[in-house]
Amino acid sequence: MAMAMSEAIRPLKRNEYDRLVALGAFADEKLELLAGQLVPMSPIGPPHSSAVDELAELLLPALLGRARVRTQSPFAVLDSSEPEPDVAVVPRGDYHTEHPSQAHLIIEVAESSLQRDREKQRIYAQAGVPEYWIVNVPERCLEVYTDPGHEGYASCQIVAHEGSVAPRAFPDVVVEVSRILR
Amino acid sequence: MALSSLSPEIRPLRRQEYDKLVELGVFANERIELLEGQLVPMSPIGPPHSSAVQRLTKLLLPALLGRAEVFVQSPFAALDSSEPEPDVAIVPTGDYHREHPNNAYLIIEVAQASLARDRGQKQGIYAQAGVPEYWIVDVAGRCIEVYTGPGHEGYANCQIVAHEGSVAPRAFPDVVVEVSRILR
Repeated sequence: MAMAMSEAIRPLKRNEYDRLVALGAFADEKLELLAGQLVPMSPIGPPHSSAVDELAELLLPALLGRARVRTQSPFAVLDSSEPEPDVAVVPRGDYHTEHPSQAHLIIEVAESSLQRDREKQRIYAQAGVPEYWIVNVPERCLEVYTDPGHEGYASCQIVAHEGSVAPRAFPDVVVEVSRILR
Repeated sequence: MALSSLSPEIRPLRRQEYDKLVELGVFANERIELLEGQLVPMSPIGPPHSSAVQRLTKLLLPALLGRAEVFVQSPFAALDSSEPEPDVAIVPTGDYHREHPNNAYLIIEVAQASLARDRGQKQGIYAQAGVPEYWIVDVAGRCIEVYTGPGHEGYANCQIVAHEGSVAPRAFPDVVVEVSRILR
């Protein structure tokens, strides 16, 4: 019997996904492209949207003129991924024709999506995003990932509910965890 | 850690989405099939494979003229999320100018490097699509596997026809295929 080859899958590419989006193929769905696969996004509950609101309210004025704060918008990370992070702090610029592909900081708020957000850390690390935060709703803490590499982030620091943290790129912008999470 | 999260489910690419990308020329330089919502590269075809396809075509086409269409390495609209390109598909006569066929009397895959997938995933797809009969021409094993009795879990029966044997499609019992004529 002949040996079968391993069942390789050809990932859907970002430009292919973008064309389907432009054709309205996913108009009634909330999807992300992650490593070449279409992945439905978890529904967002009140603690999740509230955390995103608090983050936006804090970061937007603090970074005005220094960086753009995008919420739940596509981020063009790699050839085969286009996630929609809850918050992306990106360089100032014109993103009218292209999604941003670089960021100072990406933040995901994780309620039911914790497992996936931890998997996303590899995607953001491979894309060279220097800092990635997971706002961990069930455990009321913030996970700070730094030192991106091909396998993921080398360092992870847990900031407790009573603690605070600032983006490395903007050390003056201090985020108290208790302001984001109840 | 309270890991109450769901494992990431994947939303299969649908056939109509895949067809749009094909129409846009996205896969123009690739050999790809859509299998259960995934883009799967097709194995390169070696001489024994193409020779078997050619012999099957030469035998089936004239024998079925006016009774059925013989499609060779063409897309088959199997399911909502699958569009394989079987080596041979014997389908009802009709006009397939706008739509790929989605019904077949018989599907044949010639398996050289692709045996595991032809027996596994594709067997399941063709059975679920209700294709009544599926043959795998096993190049290395020098035999034909005949699958019948399609169901949701795959085909219920598999009969091996050896190199010295012969087999005819159930729908066309007069069209006898000698295995030794297809495979050396």
